[in-house]
Amino acid sequence: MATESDHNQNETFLKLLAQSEVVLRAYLRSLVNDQNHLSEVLQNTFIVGWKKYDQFSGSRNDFTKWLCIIGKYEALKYRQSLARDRHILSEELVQQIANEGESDISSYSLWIGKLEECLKKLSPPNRELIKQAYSPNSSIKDLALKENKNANALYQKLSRIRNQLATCMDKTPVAPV
Amino acid sequence: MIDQFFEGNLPREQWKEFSTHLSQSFELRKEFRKRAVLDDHLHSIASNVDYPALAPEKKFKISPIPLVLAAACLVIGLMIITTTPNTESNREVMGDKINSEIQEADSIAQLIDHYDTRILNQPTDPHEIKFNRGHYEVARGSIHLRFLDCVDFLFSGPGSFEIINPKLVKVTEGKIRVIVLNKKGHEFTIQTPTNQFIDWGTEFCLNVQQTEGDLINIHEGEVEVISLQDNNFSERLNRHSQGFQNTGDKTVKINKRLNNSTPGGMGDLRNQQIIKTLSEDKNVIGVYDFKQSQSNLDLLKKRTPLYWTAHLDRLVLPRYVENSHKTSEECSHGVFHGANRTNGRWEKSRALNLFLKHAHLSLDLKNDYKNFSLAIWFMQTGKLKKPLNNLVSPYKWEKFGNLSIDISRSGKISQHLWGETDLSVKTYGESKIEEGWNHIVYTFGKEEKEVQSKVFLNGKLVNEAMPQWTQHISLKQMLIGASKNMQGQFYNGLRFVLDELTIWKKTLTEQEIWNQYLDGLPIYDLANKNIHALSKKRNELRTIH
Repeated sequence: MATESDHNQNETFLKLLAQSEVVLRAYLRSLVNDQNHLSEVLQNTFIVGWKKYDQFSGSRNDFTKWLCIIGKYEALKYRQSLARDRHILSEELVQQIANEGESDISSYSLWIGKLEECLKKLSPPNRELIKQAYSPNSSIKDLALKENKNANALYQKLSRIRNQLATCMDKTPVAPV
Repeated sequence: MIDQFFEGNLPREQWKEFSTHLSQSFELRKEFRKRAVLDDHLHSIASNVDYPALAPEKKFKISPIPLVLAAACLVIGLMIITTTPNTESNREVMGDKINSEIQEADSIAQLIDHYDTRILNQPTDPHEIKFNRGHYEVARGSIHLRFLDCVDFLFSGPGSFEIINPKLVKVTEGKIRVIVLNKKGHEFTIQTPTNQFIDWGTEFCLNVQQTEGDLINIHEGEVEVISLQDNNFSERLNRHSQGFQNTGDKTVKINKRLNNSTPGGMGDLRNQQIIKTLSEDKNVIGVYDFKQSQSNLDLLKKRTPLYWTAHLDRLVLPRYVENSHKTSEECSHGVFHGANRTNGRWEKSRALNLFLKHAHLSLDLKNDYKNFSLAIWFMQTGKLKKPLNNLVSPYKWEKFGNLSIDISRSGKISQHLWGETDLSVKTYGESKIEEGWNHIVYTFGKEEKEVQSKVFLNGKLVNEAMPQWTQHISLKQMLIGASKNMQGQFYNGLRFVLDELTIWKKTLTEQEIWNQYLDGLPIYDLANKNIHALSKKRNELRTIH
C-alpha cells in the first residue's frame, strides 16, 4: 500500500521528469535512427529512471544530466538489438556523440530556446506546413496530393525551412528555457 | 546528408561516408546534435505535446493506436473478401484476345497528346477523360489516342467517333491518321457510314465527310477497303495504288496529298502557342526559337552582340538568332559561330547544333537583374570532354553578378558566381543529364529575404546556393556553349543541340518550372519517326504530380 511518502516521491519524480523531458528527448534523438526508436528508448529510460530514482540525490539540473546518462545506456542497449542492420550509426560513433552531448547538456536548453524564438519568426504558411509535415502518421506524398502540389517541391521547401531555422538558431541570442 | 538522415532518406550507399565524416569532425557532430534538437522539437510541436511531460500511466502503457488500426484493417479485410463480386464471371466475354486483356477500370485508349481540344459532355481537360467504349463528339481541335500500345489514332474535329472495342472505331465525321505500331495492332478498323477500312499495317490517313464520302491516302503498308453498301466489294490498297482495280466503291476516293495531323504535330502547335505567349509576356526579355529570321538584316544588326559589332560586315542573315519578344529590347539578338540549325523537339521547330569545338552563341543582356531566370532545352550529342564544360558564362569573368553554369564530365550541372569563394551549394540527388532532351533552368532572386541561386534539371531542383555578396545577375555579354580564355580563344567541351532559350527578368517558381518541363517534353522522336518513350513518361508524370 502506497504511503504518503511514496506519493510525494512520485510527484517529485514526475515534476522533475516534466522539466527534463524536452532536453532528454533532444539529447536522445541524436543517438537513435528515427522517431520510432526514440519513443522506445524514451520509454525504457523513464522506466529505468523511475526504478533507480531512490538512488538519485541532487538538484534539478543534475537530474536532467542523470536521466540523460541513463538514456545514453538505453540507447546503446537498444542499438545492440538493431546491430544486424548495417545502416545504423556504429557503437563508437554513438558513444562519441553521447559523451560530447553529456558534457554539453546545457547547450540543449539553449538551442531549444533559440528554436522557439526562430519558430515564431516563420511565416504562418511555413509554420502550418511544418505542423502538417511533422504530424504523426503524415506523409509528404499525401500532403502534396492534398495541397495539389509537387511532392518533390514540398520536400525541397521543407528542407529550406529547416535550413532557415538552423541558420536562425546560430544567429539568435536568447535566454535558455 | 544530415538532413537526409533525420528524414530517414539517407541512401544506403552513403551510410559509410556519412558515418566516417561524422566520426572525424567535432563540428559536424555538434551540427548533428543541433539538428536532432530541431527534428525532435518539430515533431513535438506537430503532435501538440505539452511540456511538462506525459502522465505516468499514459507513459508506460503501450499505445492502443497500432492495435486499433490492426483490428480495423482485419475487419475491413474480411469485409472485402466476403463482399467483393466475382468480376471474372461478370466481365463480358467478347471472344477477342485483346478485350480479355482489359481490366474493367482501365481505359481502352490512352491519351498521348491533344491540341485545342474540346469534346462535348466531357471534362474540359482531355487528361481527365477516360477513353472507354462510347461516343465522343469533338467540337474542335485534335486528339491523339493510343489503343493498348498497338495502334495510334489521331483525330481532328469537328466530328465524332465511337469506340466500339480496342480494334474498332466508328467515325461519322472527321480527319484521321491511323498508325499500327506492331503486329498486335493489325486489323484495326475504322468504320465510316459507308465503308470499313482495315489496317494491315502500317499507316494511313482518312477524311470522313458527311456528304462527299471518304478520302484515303495510304502512307505505308496495306489497307483493306470493304464497302458496307456493296457486299461484293473489297480491295486491298497500298501506297502505290492510284485507284481501285475492281469497279470501285464510289463512296471512297484516293487522295495522294492527304496528310492529316501527325504524331508530334499537336505538340508542335501547342509549343507555337507557348512561344507566342512568352513573346508577349512582360517579364520575358528574350525568347529564341532558332527559326530563320523573318526580319530585315539591317534591323537585326542594330541589336548585334557587342563582340560581333567589330565583324558586322561578315554577318549574314542566317547567322542571327532573332529575339522573338514583341516589345522588349533588353536582350540582343543572338549570333552563333561553329554551329548550324537542325531539327528541334517538334515537327516544325528548329534548334541550334553546336558541334565544333569552339561553337558558341553570343547574347548581350542590357541590364543587371535582381530577379532572373534562364531556361533551355538541351540535348547532348557528343562526349563531355573536360571536367567542367561551360554551358552559360560571361565573356569575361570579372565582377559580381557574373554567373557560370557548367556540366561536369559525368553529366552533373553546377553553378558558380564570381567572388563567392565560399559559396555553399546544396545538391539534391544524383540527377544528371539524360539521353535525349533535357530541360535546364536557372533562377536567381530573393526568397523570404534571402538571395537564392538555383539550378533545375527536368523540372527538379538539383542544386541551390545562398550567395553572400551577389545581389544581381550581370551577363551583359553572355556566351552559351563555350567560354573565352585570356588569349581570346573560345573553347568548349560540350557538343549539344540547344532548343528554345528563354530569359526572364523574374524568378520562376518551382511550379512554373515544372509546368514548362511537362508542357515541353517532346512525344515524337523525329530522327527515328517513332513515338518517343517520353510520351508515356509525360503522362505518368502528369498523373503523379
